[in-house]
Amino acid sequence: MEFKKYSKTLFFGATLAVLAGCGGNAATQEQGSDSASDGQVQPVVTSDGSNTDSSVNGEQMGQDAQSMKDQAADAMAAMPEVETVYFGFDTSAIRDDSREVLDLHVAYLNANPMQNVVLEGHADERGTREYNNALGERRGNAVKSYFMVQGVSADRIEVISYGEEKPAVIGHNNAAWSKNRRVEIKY
Amino acid sequence: MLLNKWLKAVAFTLLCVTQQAVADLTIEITQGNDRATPVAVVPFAWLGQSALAEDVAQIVSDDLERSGLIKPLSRSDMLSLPSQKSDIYFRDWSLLKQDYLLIGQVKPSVSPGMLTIQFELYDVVRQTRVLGEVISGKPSELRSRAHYISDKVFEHLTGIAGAFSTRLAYVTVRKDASGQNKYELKVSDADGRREKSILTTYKPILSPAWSPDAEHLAYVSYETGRPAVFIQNVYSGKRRQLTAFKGLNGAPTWSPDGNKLAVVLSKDGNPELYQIDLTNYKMKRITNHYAIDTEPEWSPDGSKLLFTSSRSGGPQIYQLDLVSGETERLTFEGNYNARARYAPDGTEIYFVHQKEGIFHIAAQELANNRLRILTQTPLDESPSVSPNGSMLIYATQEGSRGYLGAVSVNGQIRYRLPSQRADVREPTWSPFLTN
Amino acid sequence: MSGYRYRKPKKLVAEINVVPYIDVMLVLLVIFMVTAPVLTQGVKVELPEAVSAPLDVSEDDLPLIVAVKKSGEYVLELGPDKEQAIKPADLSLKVGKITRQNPGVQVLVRGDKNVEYGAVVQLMSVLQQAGARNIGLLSQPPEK
Repeated sequence: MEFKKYSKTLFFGATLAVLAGCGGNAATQEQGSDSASDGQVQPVVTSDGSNTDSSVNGEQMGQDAQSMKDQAADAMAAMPEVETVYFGFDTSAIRDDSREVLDLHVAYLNANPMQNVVLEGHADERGTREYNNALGERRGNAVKSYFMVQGVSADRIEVISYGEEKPAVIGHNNAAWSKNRRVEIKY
Repeated sequence: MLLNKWLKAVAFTLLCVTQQAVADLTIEITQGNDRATPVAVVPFAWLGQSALAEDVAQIVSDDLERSGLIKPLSRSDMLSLPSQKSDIYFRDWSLLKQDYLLIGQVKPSVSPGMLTIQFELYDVVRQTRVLGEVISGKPSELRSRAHYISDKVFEHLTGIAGAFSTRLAYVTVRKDASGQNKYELKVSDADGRREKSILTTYKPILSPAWSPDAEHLAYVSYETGRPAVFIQNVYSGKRRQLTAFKGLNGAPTWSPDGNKLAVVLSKDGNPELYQIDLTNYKMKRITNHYAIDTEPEWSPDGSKLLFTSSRSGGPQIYQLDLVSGETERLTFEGNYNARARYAPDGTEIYFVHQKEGIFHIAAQELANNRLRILTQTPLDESPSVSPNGSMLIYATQEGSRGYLGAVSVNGQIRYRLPSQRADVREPTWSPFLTN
Repeated sequence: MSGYRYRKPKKLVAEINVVPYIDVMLVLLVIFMVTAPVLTQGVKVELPEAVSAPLDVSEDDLPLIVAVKKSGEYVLELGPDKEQAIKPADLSLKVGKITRQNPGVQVLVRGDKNVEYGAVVQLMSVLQQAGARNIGLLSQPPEK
């Protein structure tokens, strides 16, 4: 098949796809509640039907997050300032010096039972992307377990791993890497 | 008369040079082979009116040179530019130490809007034609036709199927005007030209994987705010979201028959391999271990899966026999071996191997488990094999910029495809195109 | 034994080291007798008669031939040009293309016996600057 003659359709289609993929329908296809190991996936055909642009959508989400933040700030002034804890290379063990920060978040969450939390797990750039995604999730889960042990219920916590995709510090040295192996606690 | 023809060929060359488009990815050959076969690829004569958009012979010459096994003669060192047998003076090409000579002509076809391309390969020593074909195509298809000629010539000279008509997929990242990271999933020819963006988003994209028919890409996109696996047709752009489970949705790879996708999901609390049947969307869990299991890869015959697991501590590569259910650890050298890919003939695997803090691309023969390191740059990842099994493309870093490197599986030939504008990563080489 | 070993005296090298001579002369000049028919094609040139080594022409290492006509003009025997005179600058360009790919190529000068000495010397200089390192002069075996 010749590539060039399809380029126009392809480009158009891709645009549609981007638009569609960012619409609400994809996000509603959450199937995580099914805990059985085998099951069935429902593919979402997203190439027809569209409403918003990817970047526009991004902004809206940003606004949502902002308004949530404002509400949270109203409810409880003591939202912890430090929102990041760090990890060693290829490990998801919580360091002793992280406990103080985590305890502040536990206190905040326990004081605000309606408040949900997202734990973003990250890894440094070394190693493969998918393995680092797994590692980022492990770090998020380690924080989640810490919270759960102290009384925060699991359904209030979501872990999202970004692996090495969102470094906090750009650089190819230990200083940068140690800042990138982290979990960010987001409300 | 003869001079007239020469002038035409020269004029053709000049026109093509001035018309060459600016490519996003450009090839730099960093290491070749000393014993490369010298081949003179003479500019093809154009026997039509208005100038052609592509310089067919230059595309062929660049393809052959990139293989490292063939050393094309520079045009400026040619003594004449023949385009038909009667214009060839074999003695001159012998004096220039050329083993082979490729000549050709492009002319308007009898069917309107079409071109006829004739090419002939001559053995200079024997003074005989060893290959020749007349093909046709639209002016917009000249690049594809040139890659086809490269495939034919390469196969004749090396005995290895040419993979010049294949594609690459990769992810680019660059900051837009507002400083946001813009991610694009792109598809290009194997030489980095004719690049097309098939997805643009401000959230990470990773792990693109070609379907065996080279028409679809499976990949992970964070555009919904969470990682999800998508499948997209690279021609129509039509796509579907395949998974949206809680936790990881990652590392999709296609079974050789194209009917199944292996993915990594952590919906049950831990990263495990699953296979999804694309005909009925039935899902089956493949691994069950408290360690990290990720980065699946199907063996060429579909009977085994390679994967990365931390079940022995750090990441190592394991092979699961899908028939017997037995799992075997394959890598023992070093404390970090991950994201393996099979050679097309299944005899060896390529993966990321850490040694003394450096992440190399390494190969390991499965018969004797002998490991060899192929690359020397510090942060190499995502090796992907060309469908003819001769080259690997991988992602590497220079300063803060990511670019794509290529190395032959014997480590002797290297080239790189740096992007002028963006960080390039996650390359994956398409299978042979089926049509 | 305290590390002492009998050392053989170095063998004296009896050959002449040729490289510096070539460096000085830049060009290795040899006179050959024309035997192969390939060398007698092309522009008609009356070769000087001299007794010299016969020349073997192998298929793998064809020589490049430059003829010098009686008029002093040069003819580079390439492609279809067996008669066409070539300017020294163009000659240099073409020979350079060949020596870049084939640095050891043997360049044979087929000069007419009546050509001025200066024309031959100039040719040698042009060839040398174009990268030719192996130049020979052709002669004809004397008639018996």
